[in-house]
Amino acid sequence: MSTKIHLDWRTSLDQMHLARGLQVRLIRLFARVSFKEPDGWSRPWLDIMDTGSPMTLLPKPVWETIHVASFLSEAVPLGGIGSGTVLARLAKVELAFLSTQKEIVERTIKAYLAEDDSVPLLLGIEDLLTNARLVCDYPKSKAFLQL
Amino acid sequence: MVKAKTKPAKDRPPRLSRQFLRDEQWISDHIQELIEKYPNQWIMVYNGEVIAHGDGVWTMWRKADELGLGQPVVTFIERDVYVY
Repeated sequence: MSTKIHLDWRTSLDQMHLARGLQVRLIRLFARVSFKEPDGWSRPWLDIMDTGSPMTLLPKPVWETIHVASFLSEAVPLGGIGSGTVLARLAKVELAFLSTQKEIVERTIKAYLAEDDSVPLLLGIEDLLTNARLVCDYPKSKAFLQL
Repeated sequence: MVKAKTKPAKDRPPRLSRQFLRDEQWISDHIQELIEKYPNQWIMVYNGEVIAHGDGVWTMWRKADELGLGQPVVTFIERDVYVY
């Protein structure tokens, strides 16, 4: 039996183009997650669901307080973020997808832990979307993960 | 006025509160106004009110602890186009 975890669309307008009379929507898809901490679970975080990211990426201010189950590598350079690279270590962390119902889905995943705070909190494909069905229906303002 | 609440139990992942979802919706409904007021900043929203804003996300959580807020919504307000 699978569990459906609802996701949240957020739409804003690109200010730069709006000033030039062009309406361009900036759309994000968010998941609500909690991270395992040494003494329990974190408050809910809004994380960007990013199907363009092969891995989950956590900025330093996030992973510094969570429970890192194990580090799997030394710091390696990651490209494609901003104009350069960021250093990040591969690790195993525990998170839970949250909902208003009793159904809360916990996962242990591999994630890159960035060594600075210049990166966003991205939920990538490995260990998450590889084990779930992602349904996106923007016209109906719906999206969910079936885990 | 924000009422103080006890810190939530942490032995299992938290269940999302209705207030959290209402605040998420409030952010979506007011996103353009928030972009104008708090461009490229973190904000913390509770009961349809921006309680804190700034560059550092941990400033938000510290404020939440001070006020005893259970599930505020902390989010980054993107003004510019970010392509990750």
